[in-house]
Amino acid sequence: MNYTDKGGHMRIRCSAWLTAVTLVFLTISAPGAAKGEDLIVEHNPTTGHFSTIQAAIDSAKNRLVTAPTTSFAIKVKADPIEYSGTFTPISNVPIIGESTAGTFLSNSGSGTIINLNGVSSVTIRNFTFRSALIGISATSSSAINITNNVFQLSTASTAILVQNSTSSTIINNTFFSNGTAISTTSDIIITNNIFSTNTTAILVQAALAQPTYNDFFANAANGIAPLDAHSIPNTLVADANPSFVDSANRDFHLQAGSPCVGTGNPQIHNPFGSTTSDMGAYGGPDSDTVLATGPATVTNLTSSPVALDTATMALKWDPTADSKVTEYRVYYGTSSRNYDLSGSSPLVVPLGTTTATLSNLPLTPPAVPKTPALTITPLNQALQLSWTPVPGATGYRIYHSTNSFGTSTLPSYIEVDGATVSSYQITGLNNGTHYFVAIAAVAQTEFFAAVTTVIDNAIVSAPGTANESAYSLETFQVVGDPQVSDISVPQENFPETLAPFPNLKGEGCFIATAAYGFYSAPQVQALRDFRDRFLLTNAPGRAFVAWYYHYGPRAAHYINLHPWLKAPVRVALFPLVVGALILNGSAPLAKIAIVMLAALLSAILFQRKMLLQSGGMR
Amino acid sequence: MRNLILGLFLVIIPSLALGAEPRSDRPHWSLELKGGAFFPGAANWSKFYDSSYTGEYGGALSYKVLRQLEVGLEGSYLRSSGKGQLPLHAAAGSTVQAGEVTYELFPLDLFVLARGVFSEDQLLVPYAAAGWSRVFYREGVKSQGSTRGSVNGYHARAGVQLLLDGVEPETSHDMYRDYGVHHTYLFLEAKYLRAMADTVPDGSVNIGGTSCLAGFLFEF
Repeated sequence: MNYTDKGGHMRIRCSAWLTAVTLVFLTISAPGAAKGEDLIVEHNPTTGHFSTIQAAIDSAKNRLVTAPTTSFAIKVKADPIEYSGTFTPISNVPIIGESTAGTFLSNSGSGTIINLNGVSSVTIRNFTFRSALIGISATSSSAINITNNVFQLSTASTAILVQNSTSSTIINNTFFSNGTAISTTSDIIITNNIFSTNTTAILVQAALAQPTYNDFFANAANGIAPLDAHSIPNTLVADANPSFVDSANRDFHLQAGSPCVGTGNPQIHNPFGSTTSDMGAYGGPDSDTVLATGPATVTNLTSSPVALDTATMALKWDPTADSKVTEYRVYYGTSSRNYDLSGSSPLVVPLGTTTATLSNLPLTPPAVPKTPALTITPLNQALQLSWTPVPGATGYRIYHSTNSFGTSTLPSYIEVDGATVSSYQITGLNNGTHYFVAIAAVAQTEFFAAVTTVIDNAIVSAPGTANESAYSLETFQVVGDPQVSDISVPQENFPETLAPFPNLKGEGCFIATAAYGFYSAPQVQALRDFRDRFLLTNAPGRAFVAWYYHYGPRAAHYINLHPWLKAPVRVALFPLVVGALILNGSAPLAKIAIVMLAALLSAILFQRKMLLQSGGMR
Repeated sequence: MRNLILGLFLVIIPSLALGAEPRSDRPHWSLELKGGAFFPGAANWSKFYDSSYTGEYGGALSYKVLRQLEVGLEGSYLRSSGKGQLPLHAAAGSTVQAGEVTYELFPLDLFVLARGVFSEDQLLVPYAAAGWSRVFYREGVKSQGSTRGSVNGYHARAGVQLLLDGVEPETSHDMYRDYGVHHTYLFLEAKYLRAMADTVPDGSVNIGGTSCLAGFLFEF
């Protein structure tokens, strides 16, 4: 190779890079570096996923032949449709459901769902077992760990059958209405389980260490006796009813107040409370993680004053539907989202109560606020008020009247709440009527409050954590006597019909507009309405309008040039305006009557005139 | 001065038109599409509309009586939103802007246009036009209704057109072949419109104004 050749230098450089990349690749893919891989099972599998649990097991089995150090885990997606059939797990490959309440296994009412035979170190977790003769069968195996499952098979079924399988554990499961919950010939650990309404809870066919921290309720036979001191019922807790949320609908979460809440094995903690331990499928470190984000926040929090001049605030909110919640905490203080935690805040409210009354609130009368400066903008039938918010004010009072007033003769007022509000529109006023308006600022002690839900009431305040929900939307209430400023100097103004700029004449009644002064005069409006309803709806009327639009502007222009004509024109238009008003507003029969009356009157006058002309008597 | 004349001569001589392909016949029609700013002539406009101008959009179609003389019709549309006035308060000396108002103009112009075009390849073409205008207007006050009408007026406009054929000869050729468009120009123009309309309760105001417009002109 010619080393002075530029192309040769390039080749050498490329070769060096390739070597380095290859070494890195070989290093990271070298044997001995164990890695984990999840095999996903779902009913409608995407690429690389599996449609059955057994297919995933078989895949892991095949791949372990060539990659024995890879640790596989089979993750089964939650789905309302059951995963049906018999599965035969292999050693060291756990099978984990996405959630206990959402991942279902069955075997059409017969046979075994999971058949463990001669395997070791297998975890079965987070499933609901339904409809099979045997839920899990472990034979000649070891280190089988069964946790966080619900077994509801049938009264003829055995949920877990253990035969000659040592070092196995059955922890945090719920057995409901099975024939036999656990049948074992081996000494295994059974703790934190709930056995409810089974024919036999634990059928022991060999020496078994005492099961501890389990709940036994309404089983035909518990199978073991006596129960250990930590199992329920015991000398302290007689009622072993686990208080499921809705067992009829297969919701085996625990209600607040369940004897199984917080009474589990202290060595096995819940994921949402580092010091608590619940029995059943929804306790322990691997229970469904939906609670890891904390309980649901309180909704629809409202407040009202008990009495305007008292330091009392009444709160109300919607009850939580979260079954884990055990109490509410009411946080309050005089500053928004900055609650006082040194005194009685937060106030603890037990579950079942959704109201709270904060009484004897510490009232420090606020300073009397300054008088705000008021600006009034007239509008059509309204007055728009604006002002600069006054420091310390929590609201404003707006006084308005058609009569002049002073501090000693104040009219009734409109209360406008809010420290930052700076405008208000008084509506429903009469155009042209003069109004007197003044404003005063109000300062009152404000209390802000928010509510949280709590799972474990032994844990100190920590809103927004796994144990305590975030704050609800805040509510506030003014309490105590208000401090009111002096009123601003009353201002006089009047609402008025708005006009565009420039205020151009329209194709309305040009003459009437010129005579009455402005386009929006009610008399002009009456003539416009008459035009629209009675002239533009027929051909002769439209012809008249067209003629009028041609010559009307000239007459209007002449009137504008000679303002003294406006008064006589208004007099001349008066009968037309009255006629238009009557016809526009009256019923059809009334219109006919008016027209006939006018015709009759005209006929009488005509006859009378003719009579006079012919020399007759009046 | 001599340099200025020389410069003008240079821009209108045909040889500077880059690559424009000669056509076998001459165009008879022209279509303008344009837009720009309209500066109303009414005093105090900006007090009510928060700006001294508003947008104007329009188009014109004209027939070439001669190569240098056209007659045509132009339509435009202008719209602005702002606040209204209170006539009684204004009469009492208090100027108040309130409410919500929309103001629209539709000027329709009949015009005669003269173009300084001496060759089909001429790069820059000065032009001027003038004519009669009928200006339709509509004013609306929110929750109160609207007023509309129309008045006569006149207008004048002038500008310069830049021949684009040489910029994209291939496109120009395609436009001619497919649509019969002989020439395409980019133009800039200034326009003055005057139309006096009566105001309430008396008086009148020029609802026209001055416009600065730009657009494209197609000769076909």
